[in-house]
Amino acid sequence: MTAKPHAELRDLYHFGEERQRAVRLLGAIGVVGLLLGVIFSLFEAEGLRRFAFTYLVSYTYFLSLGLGALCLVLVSHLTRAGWNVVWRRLAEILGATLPCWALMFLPILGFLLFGGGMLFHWNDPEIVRNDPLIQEKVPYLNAGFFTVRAAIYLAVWAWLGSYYYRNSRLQDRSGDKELTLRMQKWSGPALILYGFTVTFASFDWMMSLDAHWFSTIFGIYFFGGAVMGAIAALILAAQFLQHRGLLKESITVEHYHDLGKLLFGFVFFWGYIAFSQYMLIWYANIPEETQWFLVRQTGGWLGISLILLVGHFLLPFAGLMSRHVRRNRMLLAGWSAWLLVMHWLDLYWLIMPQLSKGAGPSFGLVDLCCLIGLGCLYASTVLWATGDHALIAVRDPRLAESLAFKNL
Amino acid sequence: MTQAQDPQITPQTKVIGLLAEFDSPDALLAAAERVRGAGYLKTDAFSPFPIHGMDEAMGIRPTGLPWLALLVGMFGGLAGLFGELWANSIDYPIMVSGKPFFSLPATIPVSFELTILGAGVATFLGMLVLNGLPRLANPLFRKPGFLRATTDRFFLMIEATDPKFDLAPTRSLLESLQPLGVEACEADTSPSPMPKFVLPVLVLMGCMALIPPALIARARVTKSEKPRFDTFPDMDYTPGYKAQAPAPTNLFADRRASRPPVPGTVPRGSLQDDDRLYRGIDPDQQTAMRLSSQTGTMLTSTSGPAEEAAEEEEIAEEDAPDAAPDPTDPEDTADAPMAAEDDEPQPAWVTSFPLPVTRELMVRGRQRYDIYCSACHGLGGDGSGLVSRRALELEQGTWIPPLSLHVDSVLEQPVGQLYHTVTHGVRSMPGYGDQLIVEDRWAIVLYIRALQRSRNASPADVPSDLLETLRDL
Ligand code: HEC
Repeated sequence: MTAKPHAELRDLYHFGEERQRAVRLLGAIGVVGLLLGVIFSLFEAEGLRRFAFTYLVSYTYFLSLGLGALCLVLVSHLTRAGWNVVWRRLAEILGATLPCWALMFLPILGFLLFGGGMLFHWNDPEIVRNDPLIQEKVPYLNAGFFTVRAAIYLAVWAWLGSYYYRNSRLQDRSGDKELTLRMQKWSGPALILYGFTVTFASFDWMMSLDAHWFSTIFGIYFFGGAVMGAIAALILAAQFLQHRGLLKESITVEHYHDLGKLLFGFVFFWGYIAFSQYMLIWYANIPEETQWFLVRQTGGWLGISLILLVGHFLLPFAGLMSRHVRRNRMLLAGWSAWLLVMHWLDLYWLIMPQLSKGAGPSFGLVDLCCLIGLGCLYASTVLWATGDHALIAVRDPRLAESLAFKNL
Repeated sequence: MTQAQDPQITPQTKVIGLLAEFDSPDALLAAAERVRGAGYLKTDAFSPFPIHGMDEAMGIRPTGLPWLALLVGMFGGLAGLFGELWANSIDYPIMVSGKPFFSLPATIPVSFELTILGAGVATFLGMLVLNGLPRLANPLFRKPGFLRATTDRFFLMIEATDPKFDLAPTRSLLESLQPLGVEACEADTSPSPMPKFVLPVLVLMGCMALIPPALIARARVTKSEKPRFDTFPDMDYTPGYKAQAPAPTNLFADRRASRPPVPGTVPRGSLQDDDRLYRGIDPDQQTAMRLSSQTGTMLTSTSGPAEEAAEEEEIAEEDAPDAAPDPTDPEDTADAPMAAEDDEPQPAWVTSFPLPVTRELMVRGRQRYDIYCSACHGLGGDGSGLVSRRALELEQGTWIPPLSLHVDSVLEQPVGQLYHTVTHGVRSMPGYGDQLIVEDRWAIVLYIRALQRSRNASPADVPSDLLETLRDL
């Protein structure tokens, strides 16, 4: 092959100067937001506990975007996909935030190690002493083992995220096809690791908030929402970049159409898994299991559950069914934004009811500061990970195929 | 392949189109675009694999297949919903693990599968029909070079039925697209008899397809002495054991098949901690009475028993109300004035209804009374029920006639005591607690009260609009 690396690319695909300023500005806003959140929480009834919970919601939210994107990268290598090369770099960048986001887990570890049962009630010796069910689970649910496991998950993700980003960038320079082959070769084992770590991380960080409750499908439930969120985020990111004049011709309506199909698929996948989880528990009707749903079916939480049913599943399912919607940038962007909100609500619904049993949903200054704070920090890490590298895998051997891609 | 190899076009053969051959998908795509640009509508392209963008290049309109899939899918889903609704809650309601007869979560899996099935089948069959398939023969297959359309060649065909089709200009258009060759394609005039084996095989398969329904039809009309075949033996013979029957020792050590409740637990709905509702007793009054009787005990007994002991005795006495009073027991002597009429002390019966008194309750009470009580007590409650009259006619002397419910001793009774009578019976009257649920027992008591009042009612008790009808009598 002759060395004409950017032959087909007539596009701008580098961020300008303003990127670095944005990294710093967003980082600063993020830190201030988090600090404000801590301060406001001191005036709340639940105190720092509220901050811990809302931090967990926002943390897992942004974490899930990176995890979902990592999955998309791995799967596209596993399937040797060609059509998605134009946006795969964007997913790689989201996945490359995982090392940074591993550091953001430290506050949660802090709440665990120094806060007793503040976040995870199984870590409160007083509660454990009077609770034979939790006593049985102590060999798994204890602060030490929890920390070790968390370190493993985070290390695996950080390594996978940076491995794929690094190799893809190496190819930008060398155009070496061996790199593609190597990334393909490891994508299978990587996905196995990914599956185990994501499943157990969701068990540890979200399911164990109610240590009595268990659902073996929980991991895939979280995964479904995460991939859906990541696709929505990618659609919005691509449109944002195009709006700023980048990648204008590389990503076409054909790519959006297929991203829309994936989004549609994962909306349904999430609904399918959510229903499977609900139906088995509803049918067996064992108090140990139903109590988790009972909390979410009483008081204000019932409203949130119904909003999720309609807004996270029924509406977008009907809305994204038509190809005309998926091929319309504005509508697709609208649904993506909507689903990102719903994905946040889903995590909020998973985590927050555990804050105080019987209290309805509430969203105050603390939650807002924490969400904005972590959101800005996340945006900052995304831009930081982008660096001055190309926003598209410029010398990927399948780039030409992807540029010419058309739906039938 | 060159033009020289073109078969001769004889006047007998009818040209059905022109076929151009290309060596790459890109060439085919470009050619299709040009041909379409030239205004041809009836074209067809052949390639070993789907080519992205081909539909657009050929100007193929989007298909209506998705709508068909949506419609049939929705029909499948509704059919699933309705099927479950009909089978489980209308035609043959069966209680499954305490769920309502029609509960949405339980019906979703079936409806979901039927939606998928409907959409899938509609897509598949619709695709066949819209494509005019299955088509057993195509004149193109007679062209030897055409077979490469399944491996490495790409063909574009312009059909003769196209309004713009004209042999010479169309051919030169195709030739201008740099094909490997352009061939005319003739209609297939050769006789094409169906292979001989097809018909017999079809008939045979048709006959064989009739066998299962025939067997079913036969099974439905014949009788057999033999026991039926068990498809699922473990469902036909469930391992459940009869109540009171012994169970194998490997199941429970004590071999009792009916398990007692787990110690320290109360079955749902069996707590019955509301004394007023379940026993017709006012707990506050009861403790007050107990306390006053205890102070009485304290006064009479010089030894001054510990409070616990007094409590225990009290409970023991309640547990066995039929035990004969022991004159040596200071407790009984203290209670003596209270139990003046009866041998045993009366508990503190409630005097008002522990559940809301409504018209429905009254109607229910009348209905239950007519069923359970009127046989002895008579519809009006004076003891003139059919059973009683018949027994008196027999003059056997063993019959104790039921009490009229309008005698003073019953009129004076608080509702709690009436409730107790309905539940446990009184003297020679049997109790009806096992037949009647708690609410129905209270309903009957309410109706008795109404019956009693009807004997002492004044015109003021009757609603003014009904007074007229009474006067007519
Ligand atoms: C099998 C016939 C029979 C039936 C049915 C029957 N009773 Fe009686 N009932 C009697 C007899 C007999 C007595 C009188 C018992 C005695 O004095 O030994 C009686 C007495 C009573 C008394 C008076 C109790 C007292 O303290 O003096 C009441 C109240 C009463 N019945 C209510 C009912 C009610 C309510 C029902 C319907 C649930 C009912 N009975 C059904 C035979 C019956």
